[in-house]
Amino acid sequence: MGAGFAAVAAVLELRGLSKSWPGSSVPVFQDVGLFLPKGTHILIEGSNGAGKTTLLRVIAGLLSPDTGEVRVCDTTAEAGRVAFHREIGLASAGNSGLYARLSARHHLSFAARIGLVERRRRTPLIERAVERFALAEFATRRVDRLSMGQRQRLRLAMAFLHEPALVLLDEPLTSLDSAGREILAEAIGAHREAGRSVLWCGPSGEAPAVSPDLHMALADGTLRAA
Amino acid sequence: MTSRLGLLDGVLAIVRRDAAIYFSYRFRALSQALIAVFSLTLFYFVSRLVGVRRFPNPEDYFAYVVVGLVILQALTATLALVPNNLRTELVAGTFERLVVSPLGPAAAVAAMTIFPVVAAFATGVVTLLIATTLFGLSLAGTSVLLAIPVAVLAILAFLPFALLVAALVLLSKQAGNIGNLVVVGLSLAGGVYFPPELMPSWIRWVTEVQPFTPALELLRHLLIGADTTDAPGVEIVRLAAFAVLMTPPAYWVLTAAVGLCRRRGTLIEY
Repeated sequence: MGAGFAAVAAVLELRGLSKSWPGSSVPVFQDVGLFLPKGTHILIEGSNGAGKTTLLRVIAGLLSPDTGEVRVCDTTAEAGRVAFHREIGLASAGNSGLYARLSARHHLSFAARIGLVERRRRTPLIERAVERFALAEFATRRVDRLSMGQRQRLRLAMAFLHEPALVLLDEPLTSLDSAGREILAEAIGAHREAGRSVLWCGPSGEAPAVSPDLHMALADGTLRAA
Repeated sequence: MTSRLGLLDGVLAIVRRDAAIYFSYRFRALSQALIAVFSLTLFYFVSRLVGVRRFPNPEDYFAYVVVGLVILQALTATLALVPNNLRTELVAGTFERLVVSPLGPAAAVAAMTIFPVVAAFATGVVTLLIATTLFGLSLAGTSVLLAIPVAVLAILAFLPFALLVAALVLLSKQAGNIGNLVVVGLSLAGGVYFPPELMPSWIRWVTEVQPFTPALELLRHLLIGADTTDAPGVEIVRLAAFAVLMTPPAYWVLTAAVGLCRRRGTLIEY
């Protein structure tokens, strides 16, 4: 995606992004560029080990790139981590990242607070997340007593909770049943309608819950249109 | 702009989370009280064997060691529990959420010290109550209340060391043992169980370079009326100096460790 978007506001902009692991002569990816306009849903697919999760972690600020720049809503993590991370929601791959002894509702409240969401907005956002991701039935139940699918819905709800400009989803279909996929599709649709964007990483050949606006593939360290 | 109120909310969210997890284990507080009873019982009977020039009566040694045990709990909370909790976060994958939050990993780690310290403070109070009611410990009069702000100051003086050990955990992924090592070392050299002056002279410098010994001396002075090596004011200045002078560089080291892990790609590895 190139200069044609220059006049359009970008939610995410990647420039010359490269990442290698120490001791490895083969880069995970190199010279990755991407321009993601507002209200866009992009799917990045790739085979296992292609570097999708690493790319997502670099975008989220969990890892620093060797070269290049990640801009989210025209700011970088280096320029200001608070502003940068306010605009990012992340649901990583797998089913970790939850506190077994805390309830689903406590998780949402925790996510809102460490997300530095203003007090007056917290309760409405939490209630909307409970409704949107159908968590009401088990909202007060401890996480270690939830099914894997219910936990995944909670993890997704936490990623969308604070209305970030960009939600990063790494293999989000993990453990979701058909109802869960529908819930996710509706959440992505609502997020896009509000002018926000979603970046979905998934394994090659996996059908996403909702058709993407952009479809790209990461292979041999290069990101290109699929 | 991030308001200070917002940051405070984020910090309190971590305290609230830690408290909720702690109290989700119903018998945790009770078991800690029982551990205090057993420790006190042990040292009560050990103290019956003590009759030396420094401690002419068994009660003198018992009082000496009880205050040592109370401070040791605070030290364990900051230097051993916090790094272990951080390691648990790394393994459970929950640290990732803190890293990508606007609150940020360094502030989150600093916030993770609060609840364990408050819990240690409460356990210390319970230990003193049990020691006075069941074992006849005699506390000094009104100066006992002054022990509260001094204990807070002592904890603030321990905090930079907790941040440094947390930085080591992030860098090495297994430095939790270093916290335990430091706690055991300080409990030996710092004067929990016996006066540091009993140690060989070549090791006594240890008492000068850490805040544990002045904290012990001050609290023994306030709680049981023991003498201090230097004037109490000097000991207070020493503690305050550790807190004020060491916390900013320790926080900087923690932030630098986070940055280094980001570059090496090891921030959420375990």
